[in-house]
Amino acid sequence: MFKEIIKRQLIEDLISFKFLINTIVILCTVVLFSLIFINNYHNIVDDYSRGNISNETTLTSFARAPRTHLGSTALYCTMQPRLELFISEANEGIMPQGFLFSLQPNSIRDIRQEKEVMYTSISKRDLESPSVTFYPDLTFIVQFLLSFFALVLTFNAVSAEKERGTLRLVYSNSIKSGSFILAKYLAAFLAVFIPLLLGLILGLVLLGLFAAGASFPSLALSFLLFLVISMLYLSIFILIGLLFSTISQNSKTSLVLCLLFWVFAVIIIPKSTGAFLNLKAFNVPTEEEISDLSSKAEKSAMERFNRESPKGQSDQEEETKIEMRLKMNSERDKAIQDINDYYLRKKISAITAVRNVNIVSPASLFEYSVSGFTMTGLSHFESVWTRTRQYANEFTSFLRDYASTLKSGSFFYPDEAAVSDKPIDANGIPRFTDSPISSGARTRHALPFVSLLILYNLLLFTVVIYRFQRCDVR
Amino acid sequence: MVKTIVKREFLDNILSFKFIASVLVALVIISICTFVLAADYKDRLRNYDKGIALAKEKLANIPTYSCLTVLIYRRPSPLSIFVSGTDRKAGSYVEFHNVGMEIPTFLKGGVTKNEFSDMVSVFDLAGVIVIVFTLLAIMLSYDSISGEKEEGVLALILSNSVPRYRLLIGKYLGALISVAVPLAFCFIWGTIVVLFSGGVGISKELIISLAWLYALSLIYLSLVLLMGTFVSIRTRSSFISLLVLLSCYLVFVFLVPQALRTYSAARIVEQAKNVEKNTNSLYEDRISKVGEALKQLPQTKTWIIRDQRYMDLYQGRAIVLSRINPPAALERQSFFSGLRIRLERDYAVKIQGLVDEDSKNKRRIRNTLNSILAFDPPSSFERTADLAADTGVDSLDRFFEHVVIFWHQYMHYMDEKGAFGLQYFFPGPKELTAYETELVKRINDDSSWQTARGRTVPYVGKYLKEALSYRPNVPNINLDDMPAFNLKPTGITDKIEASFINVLILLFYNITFFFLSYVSFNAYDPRKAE
Repeated sequence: MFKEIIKRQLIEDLISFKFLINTIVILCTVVLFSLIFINNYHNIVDDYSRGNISNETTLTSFARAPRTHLGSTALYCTMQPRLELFISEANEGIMPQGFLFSLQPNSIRDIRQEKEVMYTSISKRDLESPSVTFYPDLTFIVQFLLSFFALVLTFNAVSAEKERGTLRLVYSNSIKSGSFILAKYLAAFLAVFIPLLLGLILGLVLLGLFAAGASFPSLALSFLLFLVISMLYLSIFILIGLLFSTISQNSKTSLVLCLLFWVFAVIIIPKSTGAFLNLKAFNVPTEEEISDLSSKAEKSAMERFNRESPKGQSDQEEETKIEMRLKMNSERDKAIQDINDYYLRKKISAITAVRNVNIVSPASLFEYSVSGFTMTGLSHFESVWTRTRQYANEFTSFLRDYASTLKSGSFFYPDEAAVSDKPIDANGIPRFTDSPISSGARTRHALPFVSLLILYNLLLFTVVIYRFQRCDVR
Repeated sequence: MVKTIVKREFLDNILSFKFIASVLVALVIISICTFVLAADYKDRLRNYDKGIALAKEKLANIPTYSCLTVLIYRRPSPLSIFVSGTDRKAGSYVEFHNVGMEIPTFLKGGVTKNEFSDMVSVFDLAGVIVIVFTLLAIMLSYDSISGEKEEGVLALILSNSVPRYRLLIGKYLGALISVAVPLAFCFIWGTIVVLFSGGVGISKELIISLAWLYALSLIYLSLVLLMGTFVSIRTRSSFISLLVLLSCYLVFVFLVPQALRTYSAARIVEQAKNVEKNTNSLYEDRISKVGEALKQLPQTKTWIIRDQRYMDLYQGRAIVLSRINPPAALERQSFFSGLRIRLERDYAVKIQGLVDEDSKNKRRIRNTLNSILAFDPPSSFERTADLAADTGVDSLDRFFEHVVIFWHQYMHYMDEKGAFGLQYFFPGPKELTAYETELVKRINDDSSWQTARGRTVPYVGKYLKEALSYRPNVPNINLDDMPAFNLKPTGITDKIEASFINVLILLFYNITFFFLSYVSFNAYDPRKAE
């Protein structure tokens, strides 16, 4: 009997006009988005590889004459674009792309004393993007279009039967009310699942065909995970549709309620909480204020040097002067680095806090779980940040080793001896590579959000069953 | 009769649940976002005032022209509280330093507090109109005819002696008033929030621009209502009507503009990359030319004393010599500076040519995009709102056009003042005083510098202390007659003129949909409907 209801309901859904329209819209959007994405992706990869080429050139010339080229060592440590961006862009295009790692930001500094190395974040200011930003990715399709479709599919599932009077007939039969509503749910679930599955397969095929460097198995895994999380998300909308349809007297009220819910959950909540970012509580200073702080640190170091350095001009005093200057520089850079680090951490935590307000909306929850397991967006940036710090240490210790092999002369006041320095093997210099996605990090980023999604589902499911059982057809 | 229909429609609408809910939502969002954006605007204004003071200060104590830094701040538009556009992200000033050998192409600074802030968006009034009010207009109109069809009321109404066009006009006006009233309320509420947050003056221009923005919003929302009415006439049930309208909402508000914008942004980035490459090769060219030119420097051996105080003050960007320097050193420095400035200036103009071409291309892409999007009502409205508020990319372009004009004026002025001669690095009058001549002579006779390596030797001998402690009162360079950068704010007529085509298209749509509704309503036959 239960099977019979599902079958009937499913067939009814599948041959309906709205299902046809939806499937067509989804497939067309997937094709359109894939084409736009592939075009964009090649551009991003191009950008990234330009950074790599520049790094190679810098390192080659550095290896040829280390001491004379140290001043020009600035290396790009940026996010490597991944094909997972097609699943979830997560604003990766409009956030800082990574770090510019330089050994000598504006003066000489001694690697032998160096604890940390300077890196400044490079940002990409996109002025063309509109105030409300959406990206052509699969998350958008599910978040917007399919959630809408899920509501359209279920908003009159119960109320229409009420209006037609068929609900009474159903009740008079020996079907349990739970299994009736479960059948409605499962049928809607399948009717949403089918176009999504078709769209994903199409997207995967297009990506495999046209995007260079696609590694198929890992991409397919990501798509599969995406499918699962999407269904968790869409199931919330199906349940909401069923709920409103149960509690409202006619389909019209139910539709208006569903729409209001949709607009709130999908557009208004996620897109208006950005206002909280300006709260004084986050206490994030402006760019100018941060650079003021840095220049203050610089000035105080300079003053200290002027105060404490020997005034004379004898050879020994000159040497102490150089020593002091090197020490001062390294202290100053450390201070500036600390300021930058501190505020970057603060900015990221402000964003995270604002995003955490959004999780009342399932749409944001969905977005964060997807970007969590694809490791795009903020989590990608954070992993690059960690990686850059590691790299800075690697590079510094490499230089320290090199400096210890030098027989004569300071590392930083290259004299004639520096010109005759033996070149280093360029391949031996550590290079920055973006860390690959590990499954541990994936789970760590996605799990809290996914479990909340499951929780929402369970809660709604209980409410729907409870409300339906209380619904009195008389 | 029309009056009665309008009145009934209006009362019906404003008492409905959907109306109250949407208006409440709109009000809440507007209160929050206006408050936040007003605070943001105040921050930027404070930054601007501080910047203007800083720019004045930078012009005040200039011993030589090489110390000159000119800052041009861009005034934030007060309307960015209502239509934020690019104003918040663009940055706040451009800088010409070292007599401005590069024409700036981007704004520095700005009070963007957080590089990640684009990840979470803030609504503005224009956003609320496009997202919430469009939805309200759809909900008010989707069942205006089809609802009555379903209830069977339409047959009754048509059997009365009311002409159909009157009925249509009545329904349309009723809905329009039901949108116009809350919209006006939102505008007024936004203004009140701005007033109460303090620090932002409400000027006459602001009110006029807001009125123009209101008129634009009304034209746009009226179009949505007419489309809704049209769809409602053509469809059998209000459900299908709503479905069609909401699909249109999704497609025209989100999908189409986003897809097109992404595409054009990619094209623009491609362009920019090309220009960057060419510009970089020009820079490299410039460096090698300067290197070549250095070989032509006079070969006489000489000593030199730099004024470290100023060099530190300007972070090593300024070249300032002490008054105690031999003629040979001055000649050498003059030769070098003159050469460098001439070369850098030539290249600045060349680079500007590239940038100009690039911005022309960018503008072409953007214009194509805009003219396509002019046919998409929500984007068309957003653009007109940007123009009305003077916060869009166009106003940024205008700013940079004026920067280039100013650069040329400024260079002309510098030429007239002889800024690139001796005064570029040598403070005070050309003639040395008796003491100075005497000290120069003494150092000249000191043998210590003659044995040092190199052509130009920084002097470190026994008279250095005396030379450094000699600090005569050098008159600062008078820059009072320097041309001022002035960019007049756009007047309301310019704004109307700029958005003329978009408004025309919107009006054309309005008329078309009204006409279509009229024709299809006339063709409707209640007897055939069932």
